[in-house]
Amino acid sequence: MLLMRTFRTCYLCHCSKMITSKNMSVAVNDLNVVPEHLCNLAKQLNVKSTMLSKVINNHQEKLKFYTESRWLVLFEYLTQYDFKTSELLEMIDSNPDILSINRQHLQRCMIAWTNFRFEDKKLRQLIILQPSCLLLDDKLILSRIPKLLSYVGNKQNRLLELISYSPNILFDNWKYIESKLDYILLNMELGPTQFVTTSVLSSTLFDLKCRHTFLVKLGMYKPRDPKASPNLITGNPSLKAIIETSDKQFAVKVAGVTAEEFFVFKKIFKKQLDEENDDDSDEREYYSDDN
Amino acid sequence: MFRTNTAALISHSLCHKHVQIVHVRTKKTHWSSIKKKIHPKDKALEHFDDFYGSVYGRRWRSIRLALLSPHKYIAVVNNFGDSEKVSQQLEWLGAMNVRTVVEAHMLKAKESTNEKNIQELDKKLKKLLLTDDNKSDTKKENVEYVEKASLHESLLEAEHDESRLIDPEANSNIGGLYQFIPATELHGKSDWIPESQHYQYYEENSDFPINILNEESLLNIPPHLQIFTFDRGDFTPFPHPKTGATKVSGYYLMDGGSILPVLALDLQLGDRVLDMCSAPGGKALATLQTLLPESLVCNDIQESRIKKIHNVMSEYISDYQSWGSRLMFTQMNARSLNEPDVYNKILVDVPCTNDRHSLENNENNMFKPTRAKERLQLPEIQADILKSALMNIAVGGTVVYSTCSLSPIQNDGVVKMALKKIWEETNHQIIVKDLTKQFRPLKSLYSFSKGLKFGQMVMPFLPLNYGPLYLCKLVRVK
Repeated sequence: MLLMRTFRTCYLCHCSKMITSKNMSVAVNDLNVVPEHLCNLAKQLNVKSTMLSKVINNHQEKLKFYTESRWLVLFEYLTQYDFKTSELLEMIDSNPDILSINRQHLQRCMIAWTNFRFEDKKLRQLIILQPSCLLLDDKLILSRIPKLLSYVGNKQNRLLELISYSPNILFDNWKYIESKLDYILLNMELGPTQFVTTSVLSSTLFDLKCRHTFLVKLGMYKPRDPKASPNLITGNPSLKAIIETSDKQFAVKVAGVTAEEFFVFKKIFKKQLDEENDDDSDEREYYSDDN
Repeated sequence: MFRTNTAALISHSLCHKHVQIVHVRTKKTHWSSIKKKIHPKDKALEHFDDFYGSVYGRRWRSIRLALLSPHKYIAVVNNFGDSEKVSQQLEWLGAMNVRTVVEAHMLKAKESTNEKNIQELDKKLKKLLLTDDNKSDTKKENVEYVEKASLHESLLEAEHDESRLIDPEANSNIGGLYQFIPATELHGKSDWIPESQHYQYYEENSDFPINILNEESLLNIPPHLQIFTFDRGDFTPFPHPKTGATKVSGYYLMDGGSILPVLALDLQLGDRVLDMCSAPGGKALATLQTLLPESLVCNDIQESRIKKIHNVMSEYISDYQSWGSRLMFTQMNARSLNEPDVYNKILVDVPCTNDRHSLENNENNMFKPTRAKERLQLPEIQADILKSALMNIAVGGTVVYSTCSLSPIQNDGVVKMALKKIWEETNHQIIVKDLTKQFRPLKSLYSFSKGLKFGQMVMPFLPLNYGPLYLCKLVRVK
């Protein structure tokens, strides 16, 4: 039995070695000289061989698992949607995992995306910027996008922008995202135009709550007067300034107090939230169950 | 048929704990009307934003944050219980004894002054060697106490200042004549006057002599007074005090600032102490914990408040009823107190806007619309109480005035008003003791305000979230 197992592992090792040696990554040792099989592949894919070797060089570890056919399938299929080959190479460079998608999945995914009649050019831009969009399950896309659309006033361009800033909204737990969106809309009284251009949804709800409460207690974040015109500019710091800064920057530059005060506040706030959560265990469900 | 069905449903829902309480929605409990309601808390915050925003400028934000966050306590160990055991337990919790902090600070200060002295000596030697000038620096930094005449005495020597007479016929400056007349009645919207305008009445310059002297003696924490607190930024709560063998609680928790007036009194053995507005009795209890005063009289104006003091005392001292003249309770109006030269230490912790409380609780809140009149009268009442204390204090005795408000009117303003009244009406000579130097060892525990004229103020600052507490030490010399 033991012999059998050792034989099997040895054999598997051998096989995998064979496969990797067939792939191109091992061959790329010298930057200036582009190996022959890479030139061939570049020709087939219609890209510059130097660019290709550069990308492969950047992600040697990951790319060695994917065969040439995967490259061909991806390029062939996505060029149908007007993606340029250089853009596709860029996508692989930023997220090499998209080579793992098989043709069927790719097809379903792209159909799901096009199903919502986004503007072609903008959708393409989004996918180039966030290639992980292709890794999603088509059912997830079909169910998630309408939900998100309702939060941004059914404006498709806004949604694409939001996804480009925080792609995690497509696959994170919906209840958690909903709680964040509700907090922004109801507690911070901000509209979709203000939050779609920030990465607020990729930060944690705790950070958002903590920083917002901090500013409210300092008297720097005032609720909107319901009778004032909605176009009136409030003196509140922008969401970008609140969320896209480090703790120290936030305390000193945005809030105008010492960093020590913010750190102490964070500690107290965390304690308060924990105590609240202990009181009603319903709150915990936000973070635990999926979708 | 219908009846049985509903009964079944009820029993079913009961056993599954799905009982839903349906609130009867009336006009008052509707969410929109609840949201619209302005509570005294909100009024207080709005008022402070306007008033303190103009007084403290940018610093107000940081104070506001601290006031709206939970505050820190200090624990005063009860000497009438198992004090040693309790102190040990508190130290195990990670709390530090204020005395050790102060002593460490003093030792450090001593070392640094020694070094400074040596350096200064070196410099002087160099000067002597380099130049032959032997100019002696005889000027003393400290201002010596100079007796200043009271109003009546100075009036005898006074001359008319013709240039300051205002011609009532001239229309140009007529508004100025009415500016300083205090309102006698309140009408409708008078509460709407923003207090930052009101602040203009608080003037910097004084037109009567005030003696301010530095307190030279070192900070003295009475040997039996054990105070514990946690380090800067450490918000560990003190557990609820346990009752010991004598069935009294182990320690008393109070705001960190509240111990300072007791320290400022500089209690000595055999002192006769009066606490003019004693309830709820925290400072009185801390005074007793020093085991120094010969007698302590706790006074308050309402019976319900006297009861509160009784409650606190019974919780911490099992046999206080039999103490006789050592601990007495009186119920009278502090403004009309007339027992001159009986007490040599008087603590005047006056009723005030109680800033932190006003922002936290809607009950017993000074900013209730119905209490507007009371609130606007506060400075006057406070000045009267302080005046009455200064009238009754024995010669050489100390009065400590304290409030828990940030308002400069209720603090320095009231002290000035009371001093003015004393100067006008009596021959008492009062000096203000500047405690800046004496409180320096406490710098690591409290965030003190700078730039006050007479007193000291503990500013709320989040990592050291005590106060607000203002105190001013006054000594009668003649």
